[in-house]
Amino acid sequence: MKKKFSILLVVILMLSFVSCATESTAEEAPAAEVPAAETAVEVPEEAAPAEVATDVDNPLAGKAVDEDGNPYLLGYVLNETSSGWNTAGLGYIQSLWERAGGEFVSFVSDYDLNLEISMMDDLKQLNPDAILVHPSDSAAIAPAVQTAMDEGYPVFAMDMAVTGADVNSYIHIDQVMLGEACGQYIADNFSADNPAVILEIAGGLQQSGAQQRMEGFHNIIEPLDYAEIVQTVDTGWSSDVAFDGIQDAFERNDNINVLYSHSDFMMQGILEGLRVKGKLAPAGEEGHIVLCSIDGDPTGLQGMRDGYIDAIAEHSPVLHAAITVNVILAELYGQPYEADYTLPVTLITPENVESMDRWANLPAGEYDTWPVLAQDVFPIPSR
Amino acid sequence: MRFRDSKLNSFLKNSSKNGVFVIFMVIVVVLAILTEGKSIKPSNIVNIMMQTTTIGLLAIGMTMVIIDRGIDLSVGGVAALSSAIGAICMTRLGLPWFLCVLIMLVVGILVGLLNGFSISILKMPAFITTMATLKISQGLAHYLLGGTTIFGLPEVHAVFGQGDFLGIPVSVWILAFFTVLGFILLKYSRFGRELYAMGGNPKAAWIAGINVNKNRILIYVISGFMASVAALIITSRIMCAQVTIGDGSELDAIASAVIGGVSMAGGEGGVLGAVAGTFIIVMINNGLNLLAVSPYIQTAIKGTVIFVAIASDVLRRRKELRLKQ
Repeated sequence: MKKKFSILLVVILMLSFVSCATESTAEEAPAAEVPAAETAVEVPEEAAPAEVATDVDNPLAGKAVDEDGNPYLLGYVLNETSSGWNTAGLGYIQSLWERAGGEFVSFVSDYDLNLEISMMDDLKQLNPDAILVHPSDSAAIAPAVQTAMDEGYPVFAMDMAVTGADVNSYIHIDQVMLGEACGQYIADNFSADNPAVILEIAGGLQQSGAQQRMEGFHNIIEPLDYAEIVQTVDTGWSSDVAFDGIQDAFERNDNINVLYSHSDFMMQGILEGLRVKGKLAPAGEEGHIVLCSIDGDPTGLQGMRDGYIDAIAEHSPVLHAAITVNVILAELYGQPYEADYTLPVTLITPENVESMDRWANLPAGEYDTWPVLAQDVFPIPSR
Repeated sequence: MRFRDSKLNSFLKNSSKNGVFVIFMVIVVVLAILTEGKSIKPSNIVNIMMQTTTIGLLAIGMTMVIIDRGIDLSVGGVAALSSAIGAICMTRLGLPWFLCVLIMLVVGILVGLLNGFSISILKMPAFITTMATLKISQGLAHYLLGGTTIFGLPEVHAVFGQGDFLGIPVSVWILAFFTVLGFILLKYSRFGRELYAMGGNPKAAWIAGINVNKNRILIYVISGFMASVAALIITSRIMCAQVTIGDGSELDAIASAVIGGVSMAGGEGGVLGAVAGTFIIVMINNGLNLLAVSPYIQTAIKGTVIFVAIASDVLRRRKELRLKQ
């Protein structure tokens, strides 16, 4: 009896968690469909171009179906959905592909390399028309990618390279250039009379993205005789660790007057850390610490509006997604495209922070309402 | 010079119990020398105390679990889920702040209850059960947050992580409160005596009439509750909720407890040692940052210091045991 009762209680608890989760998410973000766990798979029951009425509203309408009207299946294997960047990228690609009439399936590995490789095999069981990867590790995924390509699947990489396999096309921003953009901002705004004492808040330095953002920043700063990076704190992309790192760094060196963050993802911890340390002052006020960051997510843009962040090197998932979808369509139509698309870096400043070109100004989670981005790097191909 | 009857002598005689405090003092002195006194500046001491709070709270709950020969890997997930639900209540649902805080605490209690029932009544292994609830809670947090950061928490929420009382951070008061409470609970209450008996010899404890199941459920509820208190402080410090909150903190909590003299074999240790163990871990982190040690080598150094601290403690205990025999 006791046992039955406890099983019942456990089931009730589980159900209450799930129903709680479902209710609040459904209320807040009806359009967002984000995989819940690392093995989440989504195959929509039907393509959903119906919400978009005309070709003017939806220039992608009917693009992701073959001559017989069968939808193309795009499979996407990505490393995580913890960050706003990846979530937005996933949501927007899925939305664009479905607006084009195609079917979409995604697998999220949560940085589990073994799982990611298995996911490539799982994906092939669905016989997709194209595979898109945003891997956890450039080299580790390569054998699985090569195998898929040998079996005839076109494979595309977004944001993170696949080293050791020649994917059909690699759509990315140069992470080194993102770091360099922040470095250049510091170089331009400081001088021998006003030297920069810099604290670097790094992402996860075991990952190539963080290493490249570090490299780019150091490339610009190290030759300068009026700027010095006095400390680098590895946060593992955690706001909480960034908060602690700020406290420790200012204990060591109270003269820090510049912060460089590898991502807006840690921004809330950085700003609150500065507040607790009595170092948070908006631009124009005495004691303002110049802050340059990367990504341009909603936290970052808000920090800039509040006057605390001076510049952000934008890393736009929307631009990545729009170009990627078009390149994949070109492959399916048998049309030519480049093997590499390196996207331009935009520096967000208070002058352009409100522009609707900023991906984080689009309504969060409502990917189906986001416009089909008109860009000239690789326009929508004609069949 | 003889210390036969002095307090120092007695302290050294009980080195197995006090080993963690000896290691603690050694690290304080070494870091003070290496950082040229920066590590013992009052502002840095407050800083260290503040950084100790979240792992310290988790370590208090973990201590009770480990004394009972168990393990609770779910605490990091509980912290993430509690943060996510709390932040959603405060921002999107617009519920009163106090109610949201209560909800956050209830989340921890519920997950603890799930762990406790599964482990004590269903006899599921603690390691796998809490690993599963870690995944469940992390997954739900992930789902609720949808990869976004929820910020814009009400200003009053900053009180736990950024406020201070009598010049000492509120979070430190909270840690002190639960440390004292945990100490009294383990040392002077019937529950504490029963817990040590359960950890020392579960069968004998059951034969002696101890309600093992009830106590075990309570232990995991306490652990879950402490995790949600930690979540309260984390969200208050960074004024947002992110899915990475609490990530890996279960291992820090276990390390803190073990460094603090809690035996993985059960029946031994206490919350004071566990909190001292947390201080050791935090001081190492803080010291490496004050010394601006390259982040590439910091993790390895931290691991080495923890390894040496535990190894020296284990060797000293073994030596004492041999001497007793």
